[in-house]
Amino acid sequence: MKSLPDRRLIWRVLRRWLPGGFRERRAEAVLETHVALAGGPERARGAVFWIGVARDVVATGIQLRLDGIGGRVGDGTARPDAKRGRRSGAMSGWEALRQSVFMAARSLRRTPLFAAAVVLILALGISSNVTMFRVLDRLLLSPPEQIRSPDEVKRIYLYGHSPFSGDVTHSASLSYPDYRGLAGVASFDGVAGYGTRSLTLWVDGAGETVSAEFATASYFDVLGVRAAAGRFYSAEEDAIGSPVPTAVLGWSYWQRRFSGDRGVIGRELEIGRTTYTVVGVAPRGFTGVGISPIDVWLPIHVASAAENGSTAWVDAHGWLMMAAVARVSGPEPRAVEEATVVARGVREAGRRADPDLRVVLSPLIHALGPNPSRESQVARMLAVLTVLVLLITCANVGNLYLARVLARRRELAVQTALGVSRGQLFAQLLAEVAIVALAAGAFAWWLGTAAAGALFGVLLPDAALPTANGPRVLVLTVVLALITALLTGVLPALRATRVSVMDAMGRGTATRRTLLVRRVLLAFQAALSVLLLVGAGLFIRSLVRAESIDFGLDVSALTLDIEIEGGITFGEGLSDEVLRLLPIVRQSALVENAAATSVAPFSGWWGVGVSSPDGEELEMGASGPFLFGVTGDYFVALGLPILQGRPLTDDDTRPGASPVAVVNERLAGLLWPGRDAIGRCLVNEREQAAPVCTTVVGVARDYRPSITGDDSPGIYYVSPTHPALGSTAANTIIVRAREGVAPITIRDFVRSAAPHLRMVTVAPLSDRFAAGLRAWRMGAALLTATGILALIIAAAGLYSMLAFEVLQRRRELGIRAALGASSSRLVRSTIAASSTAVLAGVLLGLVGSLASGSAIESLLFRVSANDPAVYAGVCAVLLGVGVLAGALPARNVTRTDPAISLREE
Amino acid sequence: MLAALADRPRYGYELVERIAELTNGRKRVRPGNLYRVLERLEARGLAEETRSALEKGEDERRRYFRATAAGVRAAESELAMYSGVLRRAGGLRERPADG
Repeated sequence: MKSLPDRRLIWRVLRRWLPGGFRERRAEAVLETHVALAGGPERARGAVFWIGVARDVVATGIQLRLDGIGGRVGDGTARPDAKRGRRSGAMSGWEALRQSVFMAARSLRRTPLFAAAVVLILALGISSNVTMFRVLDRLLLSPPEQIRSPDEVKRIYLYGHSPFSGDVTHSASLSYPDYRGLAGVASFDGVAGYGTRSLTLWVDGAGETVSAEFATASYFDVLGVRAAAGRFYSAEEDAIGSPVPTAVLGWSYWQRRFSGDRGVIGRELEIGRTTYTVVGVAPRGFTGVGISPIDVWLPIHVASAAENGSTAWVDAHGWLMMAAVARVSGPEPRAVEEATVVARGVREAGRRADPDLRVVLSPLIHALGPNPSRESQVARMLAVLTVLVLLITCANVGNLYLARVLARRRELAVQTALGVSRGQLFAQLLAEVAIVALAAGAFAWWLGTAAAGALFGVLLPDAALPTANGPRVLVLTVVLALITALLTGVLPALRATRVSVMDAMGRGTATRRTLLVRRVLLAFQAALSVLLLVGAGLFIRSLVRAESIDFGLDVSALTLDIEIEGGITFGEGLSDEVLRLLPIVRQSALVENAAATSVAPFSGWWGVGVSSPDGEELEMGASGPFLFGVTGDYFVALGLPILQGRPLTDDDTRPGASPVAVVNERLAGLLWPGRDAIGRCLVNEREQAAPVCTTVVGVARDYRPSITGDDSPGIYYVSPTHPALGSTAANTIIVRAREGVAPITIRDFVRSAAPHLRMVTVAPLSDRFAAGLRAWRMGAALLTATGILALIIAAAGLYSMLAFEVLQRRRELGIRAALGASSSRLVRSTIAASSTAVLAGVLLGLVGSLASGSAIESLLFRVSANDPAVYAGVCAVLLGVGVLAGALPARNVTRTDPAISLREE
Repeated sequence: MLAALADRPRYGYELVERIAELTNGRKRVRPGNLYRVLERLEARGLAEETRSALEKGEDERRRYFRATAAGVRAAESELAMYSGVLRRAGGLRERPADG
């Protein structure tokens, strides 16, 4: 006989499947027998042969392990085998684990649908948590990327009274003298100033709006970043008068626009109003101290001077505002003390002395500072809620597993009777849940990774996608999966160990207790669903309220902004261009009316004090008075009604026309309370030397200044030729387009009609406060998604619970039906208990929502946390879903044929 | 299995063939399962491995098994039980169905 092919790799792999002792004693004999059966070594080859061997080895391996656990079933001597039991008890931990996992996998393979459903439910629960973690990580946990020891870098705030409103604030806005003073504080290792704005960047004749950060040369040094290519700019290059303005590109912009070409270094780019030479590229993932992507960094002095068209403006120092960060490696209190002394010194030198002024240092993560964004507050709340979703998921899957344990109680009872220890049963059930949870975790991780980009686009459109949190997310996913497995599996696994023979016959009390546990879990799910849905309802209502808010003017009106040669978008030179363009726009068939204005609504205020010889004294403050230059048709184009008198017309713009003004209700009320405003005289502070009367010819209605601000400030409107406006008379055109004309159509028309304009942008006024709606949109989107998810999961839970109960009570129902019980009575008795559980859960959820309402009240917009409509809606939805989930099993009850159900038993 | 081992010691391949023969070709035991059952029989003292059958010219790697005295008795009692069952079942079949 030739030697057997026992050295072949395939056999060496296969035989490992056989348990240790058996492998040692019998594996070779098994192979030899296969070879003999195949007709000798020559024929014992090929796929068919090896598949046969593999099938045999796998089946035998399984059987041997079952023997190890299940005693000696089938040999006529089935009984608890004490000796065997002890031996398996003494198995190594690894062997025991392998066996549990093996049994669990086998049990899952037998019920692939159940396994798939559980994986899906858990994956949804886990992925909602992983998703939320990504958002939270970006907003609250991770400092911006690429910064060396970010803990040492602090944002600088000035605590004190606002010179404008007198309110106590934490201001991040420092003047240049503040900055210069703080830069000299000895306890700071370095101080850097910065500010972001949008500019137009021109490459090969095509302009594009980029996010630019003006930063002091110290910025990169303080943050401890190294250039990915080239270098950063130096302090000399950030000095006004520097011969060559320099720029540093952001990594992703460099990749996107220049395909990562290093040849871009040394290239000249036109950005905003001047031309910069690229000297370097920032490292990948670096977004400065914020979380929004930055396309280009420019030296703050050079760029500010260029953008404002005046070096004198920057030299005047008081005007250049910036935020600042400091690196503090020493004791923080001392640094704060020193910095406060410096800041007070700076302010006392100016006219805005504030005895309460002090410097506050806060972490680099903006949301942890004194002025957290609304988004980060919403995110915190959502984090709590997604944990609720995970709990719902666990309750649900736990419930499913309890049902599974009940359904398998005979099998489990037999295993117990055959001497399988409780520990083994427990481990086996837990292993089963753990396998499923890990599979769900893998699925959730994949889902989250694939969807992260889209998710950030929706939730945090301004934030850069983190590049370095992959491992953290992975670890979190695995941890979540294991926690889920524990939360989900312990109860069913414990239950599995208590299965008795009585149970197996369906007469044990434990079965009833398990049903009770399942009902409590069901109630818990319903309660959590209510909590989430109420939250979703409140946020949706906030969003709807905020979106449908009546500003008092037509926010669908368009703003048309232009950029002319030299990158000029404001002030001198622009006014004439805008006024030249206005008649062209008005003549277009696309346009109903158009007007020019110095400042578009919601785009800023320009305060110019006024007085009236026969009016009250006015202090300049947050409530104005603010000045707007407007041409004729302004009020019509904006849909802003004139309540009294007349609007301004183009005739008022003609040279030589006597100066007239329209005031709004607020200003009229402030200057001439209770009196008629028409015909009165206004004198603005710029003309105090040689007062000229501007006659009030009309009163315009107030409009809402912002989403959250209620009171309109005092406003007066004058024509663009009014001397108070100076050179900034007209900057923007307000356009009311004809029905169905898109903004882009108007833009294209203007481009073709005035090709010399460098850039034309047309956007609805509502865009100006879209960012303000983001927090509610994020809250509404996430809460609705999690709420619906929770509802689906809870409904599936209710359905499975009822269906299971109907199945379990088939026999009883059959007998009762045979004895003449009506189907409605049977339905009632079947679903009564579960329905009561759901109702109790809903009540509990409502009470919980009412109790926790105050926690989210501040995040809502004009909606009470106890909004009755939301509560009623949620109740209706839940009860509707409850009825639907119950209908199918209930129908099955009525269809129970006593004969069939009894025969099955 | 015991019946297949009752008349003389056999090794794996012979056992598979013998069982097939005894069951009229209906039962072909898989080798893995065969050795698993042999182990169990051995553990209960119903079968044992033997080297006495090793004769000149036989492959040394062949493992021969035979039924122990207890094994033969067990096989006989099981067979007796089954043949009794078969006899009575046959009798039942011949009785007219009376509902």
